[in-house]
Amino acid sequence: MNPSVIALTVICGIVAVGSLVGFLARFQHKMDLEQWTVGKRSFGVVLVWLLMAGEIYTTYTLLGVSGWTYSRGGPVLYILGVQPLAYVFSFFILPPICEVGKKYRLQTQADVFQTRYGNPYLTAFVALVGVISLLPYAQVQLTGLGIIVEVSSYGGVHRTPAMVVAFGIVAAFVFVSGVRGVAWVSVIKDLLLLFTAVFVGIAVPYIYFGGIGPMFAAVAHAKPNHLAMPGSTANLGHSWYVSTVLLVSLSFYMWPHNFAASFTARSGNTLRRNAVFMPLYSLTQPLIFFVGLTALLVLPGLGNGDLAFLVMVR
Amino acid sequence: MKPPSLGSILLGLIPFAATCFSVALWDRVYPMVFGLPFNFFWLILWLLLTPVCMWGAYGLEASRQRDTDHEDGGTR
Repeated sequence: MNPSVIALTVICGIVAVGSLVGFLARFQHKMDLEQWTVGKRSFGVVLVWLLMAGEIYTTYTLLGVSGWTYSRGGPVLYILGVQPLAYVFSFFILPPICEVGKKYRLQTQADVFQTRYGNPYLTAFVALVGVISLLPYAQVQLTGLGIIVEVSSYGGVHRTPAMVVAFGIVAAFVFVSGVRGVAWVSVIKDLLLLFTAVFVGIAVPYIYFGGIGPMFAAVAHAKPNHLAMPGSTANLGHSWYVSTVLLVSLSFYMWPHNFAASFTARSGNTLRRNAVFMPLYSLTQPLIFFVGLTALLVLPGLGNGDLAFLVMVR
Repeated sequence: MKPPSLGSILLGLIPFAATCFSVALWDRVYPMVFGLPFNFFWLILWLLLTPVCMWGAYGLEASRQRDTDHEDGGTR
C-alpha cells in the first residue's frame, strides 16, 4: 500500500468521524433559532472553551505559524503576545456582552449595537463590516484546508475538489446542528491538533538534532539574527511588535464569530473562567515553532514557507 | 452589572506590561533557558503566568458579585 492511499484513508476517516459528531451534536436538543445560533445560552466553561478554541486555533495555527517561523523567525513571537492578551481583554469585555444578550435575547453582534445605540444605519453598517471581514478569513481557511489535503495526499486530491467537499460538509452539519455542532467538532480537532503538535513538535527536532535545545543552538549558530526580532525581515522590529500585539489582541473579539460566542455562555462568570484558562491552549504554538525552525535548517529554500510544516512532516 | 474593579484591571495590565510594552527588554537570544532562546522562554513562561494573574482577577470579581447578591437580598 503506498503512502498516498494510507494518507487518503486517514483523511477520509477523520472527515467521516468529524461530520458524524457534527450531526449528532443536535441529538436530544429541540432545535429553534436560539438553540441554533447561541445554544440556548446554556454552555458551561468546557463547551465555551471548546467553541472558542475551535474558532481561534485553525489551519493558521499549523501552517501560517510554522511558515512565519521558517521565513521570518523572531517576529512570529507576536502570536504568543496576541493570544494571552486577547483573552485578558476578553475577561473584561465579554461578560457584559453575555449579560446584555441574555437580558434582551440577542443573537448577533449587530443586535448589540441596535440595542445599545438604536440606530438602524449603524446596525446595518456593523453587520456589513462583519460579513465583509469574514470573506478573506474564510478564503484563508479554505486555502489552508486545500493545501493540507493536497500535500498530505501526495497530490492525489487537488485542492479545489477538497475545498468544495469540505465546505459542503461543514455547511451541512452547521445547518443541522448550529453552534453545538461547531463546538463538538472542535473536540475532534482539538484532540488531533494537540496530538500532532506534541508528537511532531518534539519528534521532528529530536530526529534531526537530538532535541529542542540542540536545535535552537544550531539555528542560533547558523542564522544568528533569525531568532530575535526583526529576524529575517527588514522592518518587523519592536515597534511593529507592540503595535501589532495591541491592535490584534484588543480587536480580537470584534470578529463576529468570536464576539457571538459570548452569547452561548451560561453567565458572565463562565466567560471569566474561560478567559483565565484560554492561554494554556497557546502552549501548542511553541511546538509548531520548533517544526518551522527545524525545516529552516533541514529544508532550506522552500519557495512557500507555509508548506514548511507539511513537507517536514511528510 | 458593575464595571470591573480597579484590582482586577491592574492584574490584567500585568501581562500587557510583561509581554507587550517591555519587548525591548526581553527580545534577545541569550541567555538561553532550558535550551530555549530567552525571548521564546519569556513568552512561554507568561502563557503560564497570565492565567495566574487572571485567576486572581477572577477571585476579586467573583467575591464582589457575591457581595452584590447579598446586598440585593431576596429581590432577585
